[in-house]
Amino acid sequence: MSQKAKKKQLTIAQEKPGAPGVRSLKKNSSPAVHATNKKGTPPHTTPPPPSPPQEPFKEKYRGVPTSPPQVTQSQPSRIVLMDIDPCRFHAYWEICEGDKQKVLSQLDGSSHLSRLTMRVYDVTYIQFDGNNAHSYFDIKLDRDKGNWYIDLWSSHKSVCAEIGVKSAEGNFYLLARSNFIETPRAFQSFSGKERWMKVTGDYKEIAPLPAQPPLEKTSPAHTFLKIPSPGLPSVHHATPTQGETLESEHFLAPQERELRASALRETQIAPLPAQPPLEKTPPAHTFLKIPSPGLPSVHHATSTQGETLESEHFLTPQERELRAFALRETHLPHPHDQLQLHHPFIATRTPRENELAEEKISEDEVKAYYQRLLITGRRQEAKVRTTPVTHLTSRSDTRLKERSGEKVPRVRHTHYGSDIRWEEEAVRRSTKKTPTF
Amino acid sequence: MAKGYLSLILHAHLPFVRHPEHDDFLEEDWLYEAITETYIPLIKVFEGLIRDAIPYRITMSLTPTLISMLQDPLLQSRYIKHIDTLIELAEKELMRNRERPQFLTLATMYHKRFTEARTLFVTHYQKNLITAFKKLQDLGRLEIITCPATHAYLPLIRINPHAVKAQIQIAVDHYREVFGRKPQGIWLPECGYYPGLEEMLKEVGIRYFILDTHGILNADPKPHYGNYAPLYCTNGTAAFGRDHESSKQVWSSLEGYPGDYDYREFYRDIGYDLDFDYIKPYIHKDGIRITTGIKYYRITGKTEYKEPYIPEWAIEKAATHAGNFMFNREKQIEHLCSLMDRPPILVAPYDAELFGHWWFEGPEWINFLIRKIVYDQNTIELTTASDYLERHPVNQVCSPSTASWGYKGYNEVWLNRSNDWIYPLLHSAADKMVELARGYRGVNGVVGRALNQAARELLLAQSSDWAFIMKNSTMVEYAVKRTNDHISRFNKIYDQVKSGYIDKRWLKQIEQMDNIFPQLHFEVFC
Repeated sequence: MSQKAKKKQLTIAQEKPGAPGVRSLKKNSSPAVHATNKKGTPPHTTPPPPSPPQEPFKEKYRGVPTSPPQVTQSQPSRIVLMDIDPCRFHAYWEICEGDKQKVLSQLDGSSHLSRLTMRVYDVTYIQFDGNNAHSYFDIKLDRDKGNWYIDLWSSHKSVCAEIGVKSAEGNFYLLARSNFIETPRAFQSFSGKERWMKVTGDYKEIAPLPAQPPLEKTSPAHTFLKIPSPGLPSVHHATPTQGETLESEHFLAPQERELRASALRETQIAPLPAQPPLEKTPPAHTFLKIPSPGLPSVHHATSTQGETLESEHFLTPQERELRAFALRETHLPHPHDQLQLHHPFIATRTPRENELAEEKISEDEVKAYYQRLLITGRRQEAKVRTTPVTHLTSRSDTRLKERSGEKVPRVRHTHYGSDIRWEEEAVRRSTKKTPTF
Repeated sequence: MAKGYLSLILHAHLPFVRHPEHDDFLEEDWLYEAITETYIPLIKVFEGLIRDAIPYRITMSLTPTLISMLQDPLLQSRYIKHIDTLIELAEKELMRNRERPQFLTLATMYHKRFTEARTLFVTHYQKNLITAFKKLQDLGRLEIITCPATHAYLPLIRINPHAVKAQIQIAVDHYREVFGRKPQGIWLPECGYYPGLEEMLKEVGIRYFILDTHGILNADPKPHYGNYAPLYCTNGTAAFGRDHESSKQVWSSLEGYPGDYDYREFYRDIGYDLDFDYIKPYIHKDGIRITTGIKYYRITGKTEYKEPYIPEWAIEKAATHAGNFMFNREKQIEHLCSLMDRPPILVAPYDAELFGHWWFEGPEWINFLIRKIVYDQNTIELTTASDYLERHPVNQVCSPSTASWGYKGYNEVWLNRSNDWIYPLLHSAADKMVELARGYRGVNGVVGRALNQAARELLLAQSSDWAFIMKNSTMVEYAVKRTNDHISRFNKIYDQVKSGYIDKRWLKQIEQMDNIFPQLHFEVFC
């Protein structure tokens, strides 16, 4: 029986439950129907769930259903996203025939040229209103019900998808919008802003505490974004220049984004009053480099033998305390940087990133570095804006190279989810007959 | 005064498998094997420590499904039948091996273990092992934490927040009913966390949960102490991170202790080794060979060649490994102390069934470890997460990252090509359940009963075990059948409630079959 005939019979069967042949059709049908790509090969090789084994039921429990669940009534059109890992998510959808026909009727004569389409939006750090996404890409769909695995170009992205009909003119007619998902961060946070809290038994007391002393080592995020260190006045702020904001904010966690926004606001509205200049710099300050209250403690004096006693002669008791504190702080390394953390999921820094973290590089260089990373790095952010990067990209790249005569080693590709496709491709090519003349 | 803490957490879980419609059901053996090999040996170890007045603190998470099965009269009586069969087999083994002293010693050991397990189960604990765990908690040695009702993998059912909320609320209510107090912490199934989950935990009064290492390390902002101190989520709920080093030493198939050549070989069982006619009465009725629990060989090496198991060597090795584990933790804590201005905490969670079932000497290893920590050193102190929070109520505020302890660290094990078909069904059923709960609020009688049963069916379908089994390609048919069965039953109830006609006879049947959470009220899904 052809697929078409089978589908027709199933439709009749749903309308008339007593129609012949229903059982065999139901048995072969799978709850998850998958989309196919252009070549007609199924994108996901999910085997249909095997029908449950026939167990010898006791008489008492006869009649309890064991057959696969059937959809009892038509559901409204929907699309649901679920994140799988930092760079991958899953989407499944189901289109109500009524909704689809309603849209098609609006298209009149050109309905046969329209395509069912999934539109995926990058809505990272924005309140999506349907029009303000950073970027989007379309995936053509062949089925009214199915699922896709979609790779992203970066981790820690907020994504939303819509399913609809794309007309020949390129207009998109919405059928359903998905939930929002945020893929996890695949690296450590750059933010070193620390907040502390006291919570006692059964949440009886929850008290936010003042920030801990600032970190000895400034994190790369601080260097680049000039976010004020916790508990310290914001001395320098980045001034927003046109075009810069979006790029730089790609790196920010929501909290960092807020911080940055507040820092910028602060600069524009009420710039901090300058520290009152000291009429005469006390020798203690000059010599010991004790951080003046209200200034970031970037440099601290290192204690050398014999020096301490001499220098402390100049100090008031408060200054001595401050100095002792500063010295302690200097000698206490940041635990996180010292721990030997070997874990497969922790992204390690590149030597270049280490240099950045150690502030050896000027701000412009840092910016340029991240820009370069954006354009030529692991994921092509800039490219995404015009050409969507899906899991097919890597293969098509290889094909292009092959067409141009460049030899591409046939290795098992480790990109998420494309292993099977690679193997299939390799088998297909190896079994392809070479034409003889 | 100790320099740092070690928090051992044993996560005890089995999916709800109860089939009154069959006299002998293969998957029910999971529970019986775990009782004989894990739960009773662990209880014996913990009681032995109390008998010897050894102060210790250890955490166990007992899932509501496991508690329900351990308290179920049908499964209790079936366990007695099971252990009686095993004793009979062990007696036959004594006879069979009477000429072979090395195997006779082992047969005697198994016979003793089985008879002892039966005595403890029937006489000592009155067929209910939960009373033993409860007693240990009341004595202040064990901290029992809860787990979502049917061990649902929360990140993948969160599309409907009411489904997540119901899983947590039912678990807490069940815990209170069983243990007479509220749980301090929760074990998130498969350590599956997503940002925002903490709000639901706080609503029910849960103070802490456990995350895998990268859930803490990738938190925002960067955690000051890495995963060696807990974090507070913004609402005050604490998150503890798994210590990778201590996990690897026990879990790793290559470097882990359980792979030592002197330990018992799990895969050489007389259920597979002996003649079919001899073993037939002790395997499945349909002739399917199964593991009996009587295993005579040690791991020996990486080849198929195996030598007889020598219990004395294995016990000696367990003691050595306990000492090695303690030594490594001491060094780890000493190193951390040089970098931290507060005592570090190492959180070491393991599946409870690893100890005894997979790793036969595991309970003895725990026994040695606790005794050594108490008597042989001054660096480590055994603690629980709630004790730590009492002593150190000030912690950093961070937003942990999405994580799980599955392969690759995220959701892939529970959402992939082998099991993705279940999610449209589960999500749709959850939406329908919320619709029913809101539409029929305050309804009692038969409709109320039907709605309660619908809630049970949905909860059972949501269990993460089915997706996990489908991925692992073992017993797949059973996992598929269970998912389909529960969703079908749910849909049938939905249709019947909507149509106004409820088949009472059928409803009674499934109430008896899927009888988990008898006190459950469907309005928990509102």
